[in-house]
Amino acid sequence: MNKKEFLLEIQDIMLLDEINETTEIEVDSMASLLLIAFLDEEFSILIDQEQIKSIKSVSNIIELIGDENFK
Amino acid sequence: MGVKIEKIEFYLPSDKLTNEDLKKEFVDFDLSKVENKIGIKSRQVATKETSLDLAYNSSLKVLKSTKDKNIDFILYCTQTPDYILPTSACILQDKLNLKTNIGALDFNLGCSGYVYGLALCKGLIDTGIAKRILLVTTDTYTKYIHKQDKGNRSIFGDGSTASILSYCNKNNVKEFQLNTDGSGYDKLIIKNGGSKYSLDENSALKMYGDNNYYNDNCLYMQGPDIFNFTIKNIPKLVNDVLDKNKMNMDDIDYFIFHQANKFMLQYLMKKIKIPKEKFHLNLTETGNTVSSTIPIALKQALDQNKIKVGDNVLLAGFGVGLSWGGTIITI
Repeated sequence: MNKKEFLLEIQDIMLLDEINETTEIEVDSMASLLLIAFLDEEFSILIDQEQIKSIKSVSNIIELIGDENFK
Repeated sequence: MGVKIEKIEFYLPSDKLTNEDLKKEFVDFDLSKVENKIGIKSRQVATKETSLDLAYNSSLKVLKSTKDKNIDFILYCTQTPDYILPTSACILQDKLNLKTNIGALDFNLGCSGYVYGLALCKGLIDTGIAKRILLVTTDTYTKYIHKQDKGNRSIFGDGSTASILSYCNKNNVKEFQLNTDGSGYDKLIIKNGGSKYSLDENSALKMYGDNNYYNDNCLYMQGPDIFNFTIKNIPKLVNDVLDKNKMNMDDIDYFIFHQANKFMLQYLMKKIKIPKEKFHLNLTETGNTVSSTIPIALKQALDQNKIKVGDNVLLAGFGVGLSWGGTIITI
């Protein structure tokens, strides 16, 4: 998955009108489940409650994935 | 020598809590999210009844439906017993007027409880200790959920099931894979009220998730970590159960997993590549009834002819403990 596709997915999960890498986000309980499923499916990464709590912006999710894991 | 499930019945408490009721209490309650993503419209809650009352009613139903009270063991799965002691199964023996020369015990498990109960039944019957067992699951989690915890109030419902397991010539309850990881004990917990921490009337109110509140006298669930646990372990559990039984996915006619919530189940279905028509998903009017979801689902699937005699059904229970297990039964 490339960054553009990733941003579209995150926009959908977070129900955002617009998105870029610096967009601030608040991960509610439903979004956290969607995010866990998305990261597991696309990147084979499992994130825990503490990591979810640390997410304040889209860039935090990119850091969890690692730049090297995007196409 | 083998074991079969002779009959299953369930009983739900009379009071209903709908999403509309919750919306009146919580202005930010998202009706569509709970209906569409979590998959629950209403749940039955035990306001007047106890776990034992529910168990009595489900047991009475199953005994009436088989017209045979010849039971020689009661296995009673609950995490919300009427008393710390005595054993609920003993009280149930008396309430049902069953003979006294029978065994009876409680075991404390949640969402994996029915699968573990079947494993215990198989052990007792295969070794000749029992011939016809009443396996009860019953819980009233809602009594332990904080009134301001809209998340858990929207997920959990109360209920009880009673199954009769008996000796048969065919091996209809097949091999098991049982698992445990106590390092996750605090992911789903009622901290106070046991012998380690007393109930504390001044216990501090804590917030989690989307403005959900609880205190340590109440049930707490770390939802995302429980979801992680299932993603990580349940696909492997399905493979392990198939391996133990020398079967493959095509040999299974129907899959019944613990009915936790719609989103989690749909994700597991997709990840494990289970065809939609072979996968049970129905918690719309019951919610998550803990150890009762699998037998309720089995009863629903039988009544709706989704499964028929001779079908192989893979059961998987998972949750509090952390504890998870699976088996295959032939209907």
